[in-house]
Amino acid sequence: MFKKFLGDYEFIWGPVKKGVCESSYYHFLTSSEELHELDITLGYKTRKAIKIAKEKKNLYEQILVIERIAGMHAFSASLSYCLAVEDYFDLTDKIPEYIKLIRIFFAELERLRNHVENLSEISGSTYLEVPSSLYAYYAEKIKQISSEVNFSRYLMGINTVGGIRLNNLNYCCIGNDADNITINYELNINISKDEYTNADIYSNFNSSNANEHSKDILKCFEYIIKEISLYIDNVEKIIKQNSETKSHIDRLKTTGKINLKIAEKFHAEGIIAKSVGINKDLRLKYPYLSYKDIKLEPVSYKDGDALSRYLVRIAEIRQSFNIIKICFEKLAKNFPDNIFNSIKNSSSSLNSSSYLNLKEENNNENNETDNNDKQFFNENFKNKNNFYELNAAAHRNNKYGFGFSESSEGPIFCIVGGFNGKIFKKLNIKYPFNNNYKVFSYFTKNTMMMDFNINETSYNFSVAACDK
Amino acid sequence: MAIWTFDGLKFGIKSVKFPKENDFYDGFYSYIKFDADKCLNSIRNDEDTLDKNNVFNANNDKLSKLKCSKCREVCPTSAIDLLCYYKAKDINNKDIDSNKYNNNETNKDNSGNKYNNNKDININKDIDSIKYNNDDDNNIDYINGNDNITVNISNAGINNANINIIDIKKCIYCGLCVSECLNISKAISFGNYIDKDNVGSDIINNLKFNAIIENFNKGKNNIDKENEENKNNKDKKNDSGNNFSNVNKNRGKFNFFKKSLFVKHIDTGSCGACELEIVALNNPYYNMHRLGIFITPSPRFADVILLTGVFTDKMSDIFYNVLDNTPKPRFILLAGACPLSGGIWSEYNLGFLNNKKNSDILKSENIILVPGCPPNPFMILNALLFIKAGVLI
Repeated sequence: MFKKFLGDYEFIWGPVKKGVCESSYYHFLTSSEELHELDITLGYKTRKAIKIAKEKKNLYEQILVIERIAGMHAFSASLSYCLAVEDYFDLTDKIPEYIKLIRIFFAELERLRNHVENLSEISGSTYLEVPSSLYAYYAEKIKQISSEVNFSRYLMGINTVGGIRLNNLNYCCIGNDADNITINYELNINISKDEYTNADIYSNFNSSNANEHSKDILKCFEYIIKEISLYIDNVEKIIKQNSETKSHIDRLKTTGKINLKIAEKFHAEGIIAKSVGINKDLRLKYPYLSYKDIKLEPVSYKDGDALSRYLVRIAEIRQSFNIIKICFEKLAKNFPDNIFNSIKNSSSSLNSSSYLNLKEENNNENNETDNNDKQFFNENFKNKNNFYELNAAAHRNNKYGFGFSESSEGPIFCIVGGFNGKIFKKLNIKYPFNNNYKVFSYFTKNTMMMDFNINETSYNFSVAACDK
Repeated sequence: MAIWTFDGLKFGIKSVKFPKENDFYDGFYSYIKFDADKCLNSIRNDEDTLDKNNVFNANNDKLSKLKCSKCREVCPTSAIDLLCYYKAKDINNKDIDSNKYNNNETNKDNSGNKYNNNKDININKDIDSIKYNNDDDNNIDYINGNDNITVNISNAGINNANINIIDIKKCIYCGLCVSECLNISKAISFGNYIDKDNVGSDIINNLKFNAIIENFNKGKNNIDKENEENKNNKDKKNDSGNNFSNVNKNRGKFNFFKKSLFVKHIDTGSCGACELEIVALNNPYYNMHRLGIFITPSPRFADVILLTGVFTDKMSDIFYNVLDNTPKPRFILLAGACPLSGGIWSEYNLGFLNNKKNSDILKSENIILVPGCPPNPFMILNALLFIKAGVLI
């Protein structure tokens, strides 16, 4: 229990709160205005997600589970899982360029949407109702575009292992022919197992008139960019008006300040790290997919306020919108005229025999890689960097696949191993929120009670990600 | 839009009708279509495989004789029941089959005025009688019958017979069956978004069917014995099945909530997407406030409890605590696939409806289901509006 002084009192803000929010349990110790202590307990909504994922029949069903752990970060979580599986099967080099670009496109779209939604929450917490509802309107519009194109508002069901499901894309409705969906692309490379043979990798494709419709898919991306550019222009206007109102910025300044040293101790991640000055962006440091080719400038502020977190979000909206534009330009160049042929070329290298050979080679080389990994692990152990630890743990004995992706709130890591022939029996996924909750509970001590709402919204937690 | 003047509300009551003819919401609603005509199992030439003699065999034999059962194999939540074909085929009269093609043509021409056609009404009556026969065999099927996707009402005669194929309680809209069926016969597909030209009575009816009331304890004979509250509630299933045309509107009305409606939200283990959809109702796009629906901080002022997520053990006691504190004319609205069937988590959690603890609550309370993963905010709003207006479906 907390230490009490005269005039202090404690109260509980239970799992069922005011308004619409996820259930978590706060225990406060205050003296009227000042907040002395805060204790957070989670775990009211554990769904045994990973235990369920291990009992599924398919690789794709595992993706469906992982998408639904946290709905806000559905795409980036499934992407980290897919990258991990591709790392396990050594497919990372063999995936064609345009699939990587499409993945980046949707990942940045998700980041943009989450940030716009969070801006509405922040301006709502400072009681600016009009801009908050305007932000929310444009976030809603972005969701509607994704539902129009993809039939799901939260970008679920796009990623698969080795590719992307274009069956769900509604590209024909945007073009001239509204009713005729004539063909079916399956760009994904399915991994499955027959009952009597070992694991095989093969690709499914059934299509006719592929030439005509490859351009229609590009139209779909063009349509998204056209619509979003309109919204971003309007969002920029709101940002400009908000930056001119002093009452809004004075509220955000110096609330929820973070120390650099203590933030490093707690391993703060994502936007909280960027607001202090720690640069942990995985897109820059360890570029996955084709982030190498896109020039990114690191976004970082030094103050560690709610204001700097607010500014990081605004900078990332602009950045990710630029990335989406660049992605589309590259897609237009790289997009194959005939998807059918491009799959054939790529799949020829993915024969079952080649995969089996790779597996045998890996088994022979286990002893060598063991020693290398130990050295690799020992060197970087002192820094306690999360990335190296996880990466080293993953690649030991080459039994594990390791994938990561930068979501809107921070990195999502995924480890995969123990391939059964159908599914992975060893699986774990790590969201950034476990670390950030500790940072939050530490730095809310001795702050004002009125600022608690601003403080909480600027962190933008999802409880569901912690309570897997 | 409602217009407020100094004298009071001028056009507010009219605005409660939603969606109006002048309201156009583009691209907000997506759902799964099932065209029974296109499915390989229901093609007329293959009636030999679906003889009555086969029906009485074991279920495994039935499945082996189906022409195509790929959608059933693919489905991660086992939401597709192809065996319903047999049930429908057994009882289906030949009269309906003969009328089938004529009705399609007429409905395409006059989709708005379809209920004025005499033929359709006759067919609907036939189907009601068919449904009634079904109930004698299985009461459970009868309860589940209303919960399934009825998408093309223009093809009412055919689709109502095959209504049980996709169980909307379990469906999580992953689209695997859609991508599987695109190669074969294109029977299952995602629905279009709604345009200005597209808004008709068909779509409005479709939206209405997505909000479903469950009254487990009510039979036809027991209505008189019950209280006034329950009397006014409408048991639609017993009377009219899925056909909107046959609903006697006066019977379904109740006057619990004459003025504004207050909603209390509880999260019992959702992914956070459902919460975002409920928050989205306060957008200027949906703008729940203009319709007189508000979210309250405390359950003591609440008329509706909005429950999301699988029903975890830790949150169950807290939910009962909230339920005790709500005043009595109340509704429980279950949003999302998780509370209905467990959704993708169905290995360990079967949701609110299937939990053994809730057996007493299911008998006594008024429960409304809103399926979807996550449910569209429009669907939630629609269900709330029906509670407010006092008409259930």
